[in-house]
Amino acid sequence: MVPVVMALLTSFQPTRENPDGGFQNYVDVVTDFRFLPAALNVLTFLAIYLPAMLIIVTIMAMLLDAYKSKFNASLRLAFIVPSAISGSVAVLVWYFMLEPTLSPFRGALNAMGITQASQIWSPGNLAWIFALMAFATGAGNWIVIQYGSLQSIDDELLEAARIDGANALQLAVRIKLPLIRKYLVYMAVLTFAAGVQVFVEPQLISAGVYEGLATDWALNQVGYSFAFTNNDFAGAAALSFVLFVVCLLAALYLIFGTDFFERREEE
Amino acid sequence: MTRITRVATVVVAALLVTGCSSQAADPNETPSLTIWVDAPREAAAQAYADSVEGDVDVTVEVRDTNNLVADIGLANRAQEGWPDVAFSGQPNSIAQLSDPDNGFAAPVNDLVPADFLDAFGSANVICEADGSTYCLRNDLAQTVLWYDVPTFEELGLEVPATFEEFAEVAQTLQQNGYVAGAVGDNAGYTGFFESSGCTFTDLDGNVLPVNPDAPECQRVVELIDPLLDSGALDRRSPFDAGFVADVAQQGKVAMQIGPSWFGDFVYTPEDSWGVEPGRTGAAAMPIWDGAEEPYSGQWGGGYWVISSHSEYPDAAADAVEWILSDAATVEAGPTYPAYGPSAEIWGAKTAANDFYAFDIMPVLTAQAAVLNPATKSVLFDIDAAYKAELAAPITAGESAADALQGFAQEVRNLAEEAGYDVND
Repeated sequence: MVPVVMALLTSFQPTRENPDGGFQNYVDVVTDFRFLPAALNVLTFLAIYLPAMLIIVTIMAMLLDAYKSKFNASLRLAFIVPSAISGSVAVLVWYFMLEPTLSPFRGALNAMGITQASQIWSPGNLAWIFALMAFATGAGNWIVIQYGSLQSIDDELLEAARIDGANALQLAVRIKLPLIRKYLVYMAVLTFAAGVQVFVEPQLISAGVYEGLATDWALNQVGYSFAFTNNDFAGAAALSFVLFVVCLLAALYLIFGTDFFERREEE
Repeated sequence: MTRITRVATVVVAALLVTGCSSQAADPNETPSLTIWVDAPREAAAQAYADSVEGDVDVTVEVRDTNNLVADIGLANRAQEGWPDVAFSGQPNSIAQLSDPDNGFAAPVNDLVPADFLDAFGSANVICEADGSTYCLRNDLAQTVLWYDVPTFEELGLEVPATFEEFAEVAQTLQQNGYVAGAVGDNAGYTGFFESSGCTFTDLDGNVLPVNPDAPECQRVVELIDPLLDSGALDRRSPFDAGFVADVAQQGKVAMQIGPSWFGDFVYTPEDSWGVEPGRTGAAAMPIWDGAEEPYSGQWGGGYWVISSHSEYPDAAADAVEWILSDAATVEAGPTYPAYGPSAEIWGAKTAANDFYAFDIMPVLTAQAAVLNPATKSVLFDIDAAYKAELAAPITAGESAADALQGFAQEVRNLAEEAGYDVND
């Protein structure tokens, strides 16, 4: 709570643009010329990243749960490994994978007509690239977590469904999915909160690999610019607080809009 | 007011007063200095530390000096943790460190001798604000015209002295399978727009003129757009992996406008362009039609800044002076020194370098004296702006004329945000 209170207090301090401080800082931040494009970028990113996470993670977890083989444990490990490649390293790994001259997949890239770096690293592709990076680092953990939530389903319930003639698909869609729904909502909220704050991928690509390509691309980068290029900590704090409120609303929805924190009726 | 609140008020006031007043340094005490450097400058700072061992306690900290403004911003918030001396590789950032709101950079005019300052020539223009000099340039990254001597001889070409000639030579080279350089990244801005004076940083007090339709801007786009369309100029960055592998390493770059460090750090290394020794020459910048001098742009060139919070400003100034002028340190330095006498020492090494087709030092020295005066440091990140709004769109295939308008609009936005009065 201390950082939140500090940010709130800082956000009302005077700035160069607004020597009186106060709520005008919030108005200045959201009317800044960088705010709207960055907000649109983040929304586009979320529109790709969030559904991809929810759908693919759910499918992978269910497949892992449905087909129990001797490779199950190794597969779970394999899913987690990419998550060990953290944000900054992931950026470099993806740079090498996507750069047509250096990529181990350059044959495939060339076959698709991609021979120049500029065909990959162009502003229109960035939301897709960042979503891909974030997905690759985030999905594995969630597959294993949702696999865990599937394990919590009572075997007797599944057995009863099978006796009633449910096939594997029906079992997944009619029985398992509704039972792990709240865990999926939980994942959606956390993924949304992380996605709103996307920073490492655009910042590193823009600072080191293709300089300027994604300057002020995401809202958090705009906040960083406020603080460290404009020397406007109040503006940065105001923007951070706006992001905090968005994430807080998502969390409140999780608590009050869903039954995640309610006890199960049968308990 | 109760007794307790009165006591508390007095205690807090006392803490504030003692916390804010800096204590005068005891002349008998050993001065201690903290110096922030990047990795390439570590050896120089360490050499200084060794040279004053016992007299000055020097702590050399290697940091990511690209974050200097951010780190100083945080120290300002905390009101502690400033270094006494810092190096920055981003020349434009001095505007922020010398801004009264920031207050980190100390004016050096009274800290170093006047003749020392004079020997920098015009190198310290970016350090100047309100009649004071707030930093000392470490090195210069003045652009020159790099060219491949045997290719020019084979094709019977003269080295272009004007940009009109540059365009003609570039088209001839293109017809013979060569390129006249890559213009992505900083190369296009520093080599063409900045050398022409189309910088959008030419501050006059608080007034910043931003006019993409001015002659010094329009002559650039009129020159380079046809060259980009014909492929005489490559739209990619000189560091683009594809450009390096397909063009540069194949010996197809017949000329390239680039900074003084290109020879040692781009042309020479095997894993970079890997040009064969004995081929590369440097010539003066071509002159723009109507310009007084063949001005250089600047791609880099770091500076040293002394903290206004330092307890030992004289020792800090001595450290910077030593690093910039010690003969052995200067000779071992990687790039063209900004301090005149040091440039001569460093130049002897470069003059003897067999990699070049001839002694390139006279060209580097001449260009060091004609840095475009329209290049000043500003309170917003002009580098990020031209990379994002000028270089990136050109690389992506947009015309320079269109990209320039977008860049100008970005600069107007950033400049107004920073509190400048923007005019045409």
